[in-house]
Parts: sequence; C-alpha cells; structure tokens
Amino acid sequence: MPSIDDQLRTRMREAAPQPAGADDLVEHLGARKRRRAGVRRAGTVGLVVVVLVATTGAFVALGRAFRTEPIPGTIPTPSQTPPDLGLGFPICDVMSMPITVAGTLGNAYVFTKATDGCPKPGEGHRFVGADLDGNGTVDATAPELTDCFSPVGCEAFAAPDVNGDGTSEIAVSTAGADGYGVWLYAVTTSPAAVEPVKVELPPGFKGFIHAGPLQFAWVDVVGHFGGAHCVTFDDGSTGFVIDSGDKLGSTAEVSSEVFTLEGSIMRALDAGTRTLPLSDLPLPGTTLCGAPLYGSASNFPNAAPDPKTVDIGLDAPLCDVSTLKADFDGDGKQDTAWVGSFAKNGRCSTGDTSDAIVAVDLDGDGLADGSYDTLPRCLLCRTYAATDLNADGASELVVLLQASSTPEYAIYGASSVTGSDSPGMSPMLVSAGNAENGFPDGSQLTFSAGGDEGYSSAVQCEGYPNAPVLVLWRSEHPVEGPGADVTDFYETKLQLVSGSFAVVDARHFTQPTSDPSPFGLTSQACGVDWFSLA
Amino acid sequence: MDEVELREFVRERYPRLVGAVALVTGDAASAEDAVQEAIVRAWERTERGEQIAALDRWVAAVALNLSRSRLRRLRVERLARPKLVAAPPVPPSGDRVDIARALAELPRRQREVAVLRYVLDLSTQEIAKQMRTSEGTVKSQLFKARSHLADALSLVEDPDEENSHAEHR
Repeated sequence: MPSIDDQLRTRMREAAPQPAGADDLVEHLGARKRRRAGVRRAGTVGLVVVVLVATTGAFVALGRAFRTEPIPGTIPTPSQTPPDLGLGFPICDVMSMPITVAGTLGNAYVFTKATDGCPKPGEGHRFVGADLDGNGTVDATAPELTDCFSPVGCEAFAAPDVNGDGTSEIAVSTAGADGYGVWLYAVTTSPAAVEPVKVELPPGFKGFIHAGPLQFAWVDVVGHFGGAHCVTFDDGSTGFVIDSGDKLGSTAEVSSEVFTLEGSIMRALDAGTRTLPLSDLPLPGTTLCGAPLYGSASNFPNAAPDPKTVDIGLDAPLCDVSTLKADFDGDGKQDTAWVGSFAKNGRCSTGDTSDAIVAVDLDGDGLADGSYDTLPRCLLCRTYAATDLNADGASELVVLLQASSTPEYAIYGASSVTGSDSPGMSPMLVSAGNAENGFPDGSQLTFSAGGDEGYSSAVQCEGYPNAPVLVLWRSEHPVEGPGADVTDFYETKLQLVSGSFAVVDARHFTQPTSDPSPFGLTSQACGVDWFSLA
Repeated sequence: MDEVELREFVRERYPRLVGAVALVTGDAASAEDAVQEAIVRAWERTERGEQIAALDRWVAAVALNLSRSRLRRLRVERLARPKLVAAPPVPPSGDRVDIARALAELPRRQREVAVLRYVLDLSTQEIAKQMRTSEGTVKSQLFKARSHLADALSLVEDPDEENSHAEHR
C-alpha cells in the first residue's frame, strides 16, 4: 500500500483544477505584459512601449527613471534663468540645442509653460519650438508634447539632418525604464513651422513601425536593443533606418525599416529582418545620424543615477530605501539603519517583490559598516521600529518583512550586541527554542501580527523597559468544517539574552472559537506599535 | 526568457502551477490570474537581464504571494464572474470535492505547505525559504496538514511504511 505521502501526492495532483487550453496563452501573456507596461506608463514611472512586432520578442519597453536635472551634454541645456524667447508667456525648465536651418544657425528649445511656478519634470505643459534665425526668439512651436514621463520629462535629444537637405530635424525624447522613446520634428522656414514627423506606409507594407506620428526606441539593454541611423543611397540621397532587435546569445534577430523623409512625411521604403552577430549590431550610441545627443541621453547607455537611489557605499546604490536612526550599539550616538534593495544598473525597478538588505552605519560616516543581511523576496520590506529589547542601552531594529494583512517582523541587532564576528547588523536567532510553538532552535526570529482567515497573531510584552520579555501569540483553526469550532492558541515568551532570543515560557491550549481571543491584533508592546501599517 | 523557453515553460509547468495555486486559493480563475501575472513579471525581469534560477518555483512563490491579497481575490472574482455565468461549471469529481474540502479546512499556511510539498514537490528547505519561515515551522505545519488530510480522506498507511515514515521523521 502506498504511503500516506504518496497517496496525498497522487490524489492532490489529480484533484488540482486544470486551466483551460493554453493554445494562445503566450500571446495572451504578451498582451498582458503590454498592458502592464501601459499601466506603468500611466503612473509616475515612465515607460513607453514603442515598437510592437507580432512576435513575443517584439516588445520594446522603455521607461527609465533618471534624476530630474539633465546631465550637461556636449552643449548645454537647462537654463537657470529662462530666456525671453518671445513667446508671450512665462516658461521654465528650458533646454536648448543648436540647429541648422538652410545653412543658418538657430536653436531648438524644449520648454515648459510656467503656471504658478514651474511644474515638476513630466508634469505641466511642455513644448518644442525653434528659433530659425538665431535671434533669440522662437519662430515656431509644435503642438504640446504628451507622454513626457516623470521624473525626467521630455528633453531635447538631438538635432540630426536625417534627409541631408541642410536643415536639422529636432529629436525630442522621453526617458523610460530601459532607454528612451524619441520623436522627430521637421522644421520649415516658409512658413515657419515645427511639425511632428509622420509615417506613411505604402499599401500592404509590412513593417514594425506604424503609420502616424513617428516614434522610435533608443535602448540597449540585455536581450534587446532599438535605435536608428542614417544611410546614404546610391543616388547620394539620405535615408533613415530604424532598427530593433532581440539579442539571442551570440547573434541577434534585427528588424530594420528604411524610410525617406520628405517635408514632415517619413515614407517607408523597405523592411526586413536579418540575423547578425552581436559585434555587428547597429546599436544606439551617443549620436543620431552624426548629431550629438543632449540631456540625460548624452551619457547613453550609462544612465544617470536614479534619483530614487541612495548610495551607502555598497556595491550598488539602494532603491526603496527606508531609514531609521537610533543608538544601535549603545555608545550614546545616533546610528543609521537602512532597508532597501540594490539598484540594477543604477536603476530602480518597480512594483515587484525583490531581495532587500539590512545595513547599518554605526560609526557615523554615512556609509554602511561591514556586512549586511539579505532579506529574500521582500514585499515592501522596511525599517519599522527601534526599541531596546534587553535593557542594555542599545536599540534593536525591528524590520518589517512583509506588509500585508499579516505583517511579518524580524529583529536585528548590531554586531556588538549579537556577538557576530562581522560588523554590521545581524538577524536575531532563537536559542533554547520551542519547535511546537514555531520557534525551533537556531532559526531566525520572525513573527507576525494581524491575521487572515483561520489564523491570527499578535505581539505583547512583559517587563518593559527594565526586563523585557516578548510575548508572541498565534492562533489557528480550520475555517470551516470539522474542528472549526476549536481554536489552537500558542503563546511563546522570549527573552533577549547574550545576543539571541531564548524561549523562557511556552504553552499551547485550545478553546472554543466562539470564545473571546486572549489577544488583540494590534498592540503597543515593548515600545512598538505592532500591526500598525499606517 | 525567449519565446521558445516561454512556450516550453507554459506547456510543461503552467497547468501544474495553476492547479497548485488553485488548491490553495480554492478558485481556479484567481489562480490562473495569479500565475499569469507571475509569469509576466518573470518575463519582464529576464528581459531586464535578471537571472531567475528556478523559474517554476519563483513563479509559484510570486503567484501565491499575489493570491494572498484579498483585494486581488475580490477583483479577480468580480472579473471572472461573467465568465463563470457564461460557461456552466463542470461538476468536479467526487475525489476532487473531497480534496478541496479537506484542504479548505486547513489554515492557509498549512494548505500552502501541503500543496508546495505534494503538488510541486518542494523540499522542506525550499518551502521554508519560499514562505520565509524556519524549516521547523514547515515541518510542524506539514505534520499537522498531513494528519488532517489523512483523517479527512480516510487514508490508511501500511504499518511498515508508517514505521519507516516515523523513523524518517
């Protein structure tokens, strides 16, 4: 006869509900991924989906969070004192770059209309305009720029001459998570105008750029790239090529679409796909058709530091940082503890759970000391409270491991308290544990407060502040059916002694589920408000 | 994760992952939603150059985390309701009802531990890591879940197997 484990294994697998047919699931997931990108775009984190090809590898998601002030480019950029551009209304956050208009030097401007001060980058009304003769006034503007994502907003990107007619086009970018989305504007002198370049496709043309306002990606990340460059045709005329590709090991599938610009119309001529070695890819760089990139793109592909990061001297800056100051080593001085997750390539990802770390600065130099502890798969991990749990004058750090209806906590102590060999913050462990109550020897002390269906937990305290004892409650009962009328209660008392928590008392009892619980979910205990997520 | 890997993962692992999450949540629609969301997040991460060592376990962990949100469950149920009305539900088999009922009687954590062990074959260490708890707690929860499920489903063990199991424990 099979063992109970084997029987459960077999029967549970057979009983597991099966999803509906997954024939088109990959396509469905692709659409879902695009929706997620769209949702992020609608939020404060910029993200642009620029190029869609009918394969799963055809998503170009842009959206990078850079610092709000553009990096000085080859030629400069934001004016501290907005110039009078003859627009008739106040402007701010002005970026400029030189353009050539039929042999005459002028300037392109990207600026924001000031209303009651200057809106944050990515907010307010932002425009692109051109001074065609270099006299310091704007001669023409284009319709308002939209999709200028926070925190960078729209920037002057480059002033290439993509059709070789001696007049620059104006490229404007918006920064996203992985790179840039770039629009192109055509400049004409008679009448003076700055018009968005629009794509026209011949009937039946199959490419990856859609008809309508032209936008292309400027991105080079692991697994994907997108960019554009100019080519010279046999007759000496200039073409504009937009490239997009997925890097697959040592080669890449590169899709390219060739255009020619006439006025403000970008006409598609040809499109194709080829496999190229990575060394031969037409990757984007710091120029577009020979024209230098400005603003934050001038350092492409090395992004400016993400404004949301905090550098505490570790291998990479931290994202989603929470900070708490307290005296963690008992020297009478305020120390700093951090909980955050490492930025990837200098950027903060959004929304997902990720590993976090706990670090501390005990010597006051603003940098993390020694080692740090890793918190796997954090969901909004953060520093939660500091309290002295052994009355030694040094605070312990309470870290929130998971913000939910049942928040989980862990206790950390400075190495001088825990006795760890490595300086820094170490997790508190359980010694002299009680496995039945869920605190086995040697395990890291973690506990929760709050509850969900069928279980609840709470934190209480005895003897604080002179001789604190942490009292951890847990209850559980079947939600319905047999046994639902009886609740198991576990009460465990732990005392911090010699750098670890020893179970000094533990009990397990049952009582009717209808009886009042011996504990409430929220509490103010040992100097901390537990289950208080506000 | 390229398209080939994604298609293979969907073909090989998706049904079991959805089944596992559905056994925990008791709702197939929300389980599908959570697993799909987890796969999309994994896809995005790999596109950003991040490495995911054990994709099926990562997806399971994220899907279970997602399914814990009551708000999410409510939203998914609301979205799924029209589908449920449109498509008459297929009556589950007797054993499926028994298993679902026995699992529903367990506290959520015991249910998760049982499903991770018996459906997804995770080790005690892997479950502890996934649930961010100690191996001792996992063993304790699994022991309780196993006992309850065995009683509820009237499972009987060969005495020799039982001795072997007891020794192993």
